[in-house]
Amino acid sequence: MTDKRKGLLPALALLLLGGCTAVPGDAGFADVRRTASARLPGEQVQWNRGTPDDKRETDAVARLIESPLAAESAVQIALLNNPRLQAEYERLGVSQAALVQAGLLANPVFSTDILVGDSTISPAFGVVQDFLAVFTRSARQAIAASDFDRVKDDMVNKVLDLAADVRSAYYTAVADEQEADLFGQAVATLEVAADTAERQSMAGNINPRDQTLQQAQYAKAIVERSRIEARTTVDRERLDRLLGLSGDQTSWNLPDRLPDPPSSKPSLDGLEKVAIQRRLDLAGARQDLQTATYALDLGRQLGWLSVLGLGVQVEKDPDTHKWLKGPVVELTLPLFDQGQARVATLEAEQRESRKVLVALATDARSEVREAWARLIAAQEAAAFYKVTILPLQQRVVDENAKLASGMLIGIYDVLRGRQDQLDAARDYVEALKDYWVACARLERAIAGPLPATPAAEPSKQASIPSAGDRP
Amino acid sequence: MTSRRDFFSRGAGILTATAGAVGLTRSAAAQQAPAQAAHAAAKGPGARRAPQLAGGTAPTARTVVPPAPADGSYRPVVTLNASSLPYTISAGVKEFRLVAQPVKREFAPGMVVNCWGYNAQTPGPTIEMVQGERVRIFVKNELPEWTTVHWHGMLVPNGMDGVGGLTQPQIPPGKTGVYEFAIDEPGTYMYHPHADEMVQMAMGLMGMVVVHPKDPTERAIDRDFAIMLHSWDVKPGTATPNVAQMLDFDMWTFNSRVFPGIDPLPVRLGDRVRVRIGNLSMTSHPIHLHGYHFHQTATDGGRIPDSAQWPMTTVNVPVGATVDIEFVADRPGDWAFHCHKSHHAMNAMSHDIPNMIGVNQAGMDKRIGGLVPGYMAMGSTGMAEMAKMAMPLPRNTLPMMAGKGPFGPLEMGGMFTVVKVREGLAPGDYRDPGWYRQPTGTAMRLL
Ligand SMILES: [Cu+2]
Repeated sequence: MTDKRKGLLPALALLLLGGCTAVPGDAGFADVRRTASARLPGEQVQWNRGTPDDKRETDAVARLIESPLAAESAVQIALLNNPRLQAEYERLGVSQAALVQAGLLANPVFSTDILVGDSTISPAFGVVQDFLAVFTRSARQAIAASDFDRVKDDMVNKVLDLAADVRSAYYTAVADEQEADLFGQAVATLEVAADTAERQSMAGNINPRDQTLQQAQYAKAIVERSRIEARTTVDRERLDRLLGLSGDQTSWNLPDRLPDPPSSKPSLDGLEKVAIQRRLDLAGARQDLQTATYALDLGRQLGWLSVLGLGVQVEKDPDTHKWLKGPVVELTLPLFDQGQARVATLEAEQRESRKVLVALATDARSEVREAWARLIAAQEAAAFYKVTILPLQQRVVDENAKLASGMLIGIYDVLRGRQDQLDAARDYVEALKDYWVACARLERAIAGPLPATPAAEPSKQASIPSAGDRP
Repeated sequence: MTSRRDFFSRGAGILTATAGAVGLTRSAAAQQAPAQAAHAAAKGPGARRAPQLAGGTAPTARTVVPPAPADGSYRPVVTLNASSLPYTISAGVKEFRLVAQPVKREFAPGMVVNCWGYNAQTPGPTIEMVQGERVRIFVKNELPEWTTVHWHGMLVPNGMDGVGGLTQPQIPPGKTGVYEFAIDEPGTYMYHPHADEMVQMAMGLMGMVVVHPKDPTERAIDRDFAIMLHSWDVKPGTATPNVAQMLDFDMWTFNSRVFPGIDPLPVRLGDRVRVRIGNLSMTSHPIHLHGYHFHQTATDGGRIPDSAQWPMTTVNVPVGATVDIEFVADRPGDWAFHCHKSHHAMNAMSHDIPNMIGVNQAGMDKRIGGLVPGYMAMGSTGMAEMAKMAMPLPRNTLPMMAGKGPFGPLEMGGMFTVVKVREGLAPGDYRDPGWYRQPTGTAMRLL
């Protein structure tokens, strides 16, 4: 008996010491960065933590906004600079602390009682450790680690969400600016028509009704132009928010036009599988299932036990005045709660996690198919505009010029032809925007770049003729 | 034109798309459907090449001077930019062979029209016969629809009058009809279909008939020309007459030619000249000759007695009639000969363009040029700029005003040509003698 008693204290001390674990400095951010970088090739993922390193990021942002923004630089700025994302990173620290907490044992409980008799005082001292925590420590650590992984998955998911939002907002902004420019040209043609009508009127060559019609069309276009230009402001502000820019930083420029879609079309084959493998929301749900499984295992192991205290007690024998030592056991009696309800809850939670995972996977597959279909439709529409519609419109303009040369049609028909051409050009830009937004959506749906996507060719957009294109 | 193949390939795309939408196909097919439909559409207008049918090519319509008959029975008529119909004699009957068929006619270099005509030309070759002689005319129908030939103004038996349904059954495609008669009254007549007449005449089926007097010395003439007037609606950039047009014609022709594609009328100084003019268009044409006072000597109703003629400078040629004018070419020079309705001496033009005369267009060129490359503001000072500059026009389209004279742009089109009166032309020489050289001191000078 004495040997056993002797062994108890050092064992207890060991357990207590073993619970003290060091908090790693990056709170798991390296993992987040590794995964996110793999999904966003070429982009830097940084967590600004108020260190001198932060200056490097500020400089990088300043450099990127100097030249017309490319889609990748917009994403890069957001990754370095979006304040909400940086705030999210702090959750890593919170979650990691929880993981550490799971490794710590509850502090032992010290007790004392003194029995006072007629002539005797017999003091007793005890130290009791919640021994259930000791037994379940590794299980609880596994659960907390699983939760921590879940938080890291969430974090990468947030990064990908942001990148996709930035890309959509970016393509929308470039397209809207281009459309506004094209509409501006259309307004200029209406202005010339209105001026011509006014000059005709001064010469007595047009009736007031026909002249007024020209003025009215021009006036209508002016207000439409303001509406279209206002849209570009909204687009810029959305990007400012996503990129975390303010003050002088908001004077960035966009390129004049969207790049052409690649000539080849992505295949749907295997894309669903890629999505299932890559998507972080699915990884998170898998992690939840894992956590629920650990929790259930633990619950089943414990059964009805909810309190298991082990400790030592030292007591002075009132008769012999000697200190007596002995073990203390505290135990739950399974009279009322035998743990069935707790296990049933954990089982239900595990089933819920599994079903949520299936639901998410079903949605993810559907999202991939939908995004792919949108992408293909937009790609074909853009190609159709480029190969067929714009050349047809150009031919109308060319033939109008010939008819005008023969005095077979007049200035108003010529200008109307140009307006139709500009309308078609705006429709083309709209199709390009649809394509690039669909592309961002599809890559978001498969949580990373399309397998073997050919690089976009920015220089080869169908030419939308503008002033001075031809002699 | 939509070919069957086009129809089916496009139809297939639509079918697939529809099948996907109503759940007739499995989901994979439904996935592909929108893409396929878009793809099929992408093969649509862009993929089909515009057939290069408009206009095409046609032989230049030269004036062919017919050979004089061996028996010297008459002096042949010269049909400008056309010819007379050859004949054979069979058992004392003069036999002509007309073939009604689609033809391509060059109106002037740069414009070829898809017409219908006779013996590869429009107007058909002039049929020349002698008063009282028996003629037999075979009419072979190579048109896609039936036809007849009506002998306009000629006193033929009722059964030879050529009115489809009234005096004869129509001649079906591929068949030949035979007309036979003798004409007692010399004069200028016409022939044209009286079957689906509106279409067939709008397409150019018509020709002239000249009946020479039995006595070649009667009304003897040195130069005898024939001109058929017609109007066409061949819109700029097209090549086929719009047969439904009633009023808004844009091509006005002498023998289905427009200036500068019409040959001149070369005349030897002192020649007695006759010009026979027929009109099967839908409006009258006041034909005007510069430099002369002439007489109208006949209609297709016969010779006008000398006592009933009066001197004139312009003769109105009514619709559905012929007019002969005669004069002695005693004044050398290049004398304009044209319809005096000014629009009829123009080529393709629009009657519905904004009026820019007197409108200040200063600076407009630059502004519009910035928006519509290549545009040139015109019309402020008139339309003469048109004749001075050669600018790209729609295909198969002639400039409204064209032609170059010795002093600059001639600014004419349509029913316009020149009577060239020269000393010393050989009889029977109808070659263009070039521009007239005005004797010193007889020409306008600029101050
Ligand atoms: Cu006329």
